[in-house]
Amino acid sequence: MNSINIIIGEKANIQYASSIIGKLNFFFKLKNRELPNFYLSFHNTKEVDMLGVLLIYKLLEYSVSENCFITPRIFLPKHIKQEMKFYGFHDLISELMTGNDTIKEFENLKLDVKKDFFIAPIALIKGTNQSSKILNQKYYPQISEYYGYESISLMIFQLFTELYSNFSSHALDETKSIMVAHGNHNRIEIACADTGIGIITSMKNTYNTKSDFDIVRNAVSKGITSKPDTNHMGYGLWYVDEVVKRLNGKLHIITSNTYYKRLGNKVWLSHSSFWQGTIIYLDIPVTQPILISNLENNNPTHYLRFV
Amino acid sequence: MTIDLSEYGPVIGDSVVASEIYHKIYSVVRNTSVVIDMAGVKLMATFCAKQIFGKLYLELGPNDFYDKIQIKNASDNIKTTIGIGIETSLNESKF
Repeated sequence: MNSINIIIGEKANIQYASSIIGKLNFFFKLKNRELPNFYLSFHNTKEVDMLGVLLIYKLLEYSVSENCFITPRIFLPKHIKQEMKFYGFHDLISELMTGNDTIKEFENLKLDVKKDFFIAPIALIKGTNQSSKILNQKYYPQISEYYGYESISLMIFQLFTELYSNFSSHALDETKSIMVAHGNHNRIEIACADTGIGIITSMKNTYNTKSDFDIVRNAVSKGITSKPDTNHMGYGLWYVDEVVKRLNGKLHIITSNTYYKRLGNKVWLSHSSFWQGTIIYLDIPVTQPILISNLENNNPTHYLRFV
Repeated sequence: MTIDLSEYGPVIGDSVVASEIYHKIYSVVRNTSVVIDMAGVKLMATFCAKQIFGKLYLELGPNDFYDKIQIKNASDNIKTTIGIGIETSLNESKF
């Protein structure tokens, strides 16, 4: 019987995201195939970052939930397991690989605040207000206390909620996904990934725009949404993009075959290995808050009264 | 009547919560004026602003919306977000 052996290279981080995706995206063609003799090894992988851990998790989750393989074998060396533990994924992946329902582990994801940094894995569970309760009751108070400067916390939570909203709307039949943040007093990085229909398919249906590059440019423009008659507004990704631009940060969006990369003021659009769904990663300094009110001169006093 | 949104705060950031708030306000404002107290709300996601205030604006019309609803203790950021929500709903309703 033929076997499928995949060995991931030395680096599983944001710089090599397209390469990892390219090696493993054949999973998306294996829905319900239940292939035997699949072996995936990370023994060569020396560096893995938060996005690398998230991508590995999402691909494994897809392969399990969509019955791509029968009893796949995955080798994770000790240092990779440690990184997964560091980012709060270890128990989740363990449950996944034993075929157990992961919903309990989702609900057990915890904010971990240390003196010099915090790790915030956030379960995005569609159709409930559970994520909202966790953000409000646990994450907001502790992260606010960590930074001690309200505007910085507000910017971070505006980023969380705008990203969460995008993933909720594009994830379609996915009922749960994960966003994860790693912050310290100087910087924060946030990553989220889904295996839904992706920005391009979602917006193409609405705008009938031909170019995938134009679609992704529109996605980060103000007021352009894939769902104009719904609650969505086209401000979410625009806000994320503007914050990254003004703070000279980094933003990576990979959706279907398109890669949008922003480094400060510069933007690149290129073709990428296919990812079914959307991946967003950002890394910004937290030395200056950028809120919606810093970006818009909107004055709503002609619509309603403020007292 | 005053509706205090503190129980939903400090972050209003998901559509289930936004729907609940919309229905709470709408059920009152159909019959009487309302003051919405935002003291306990530090942040509102833009899509929630549209789902609550944009929808209320379209449902009530500009005159009733202005006459019947007041908002108190809103930060500049919240005011801007609400304004964005209303304007987006208004722009979309024209197409």
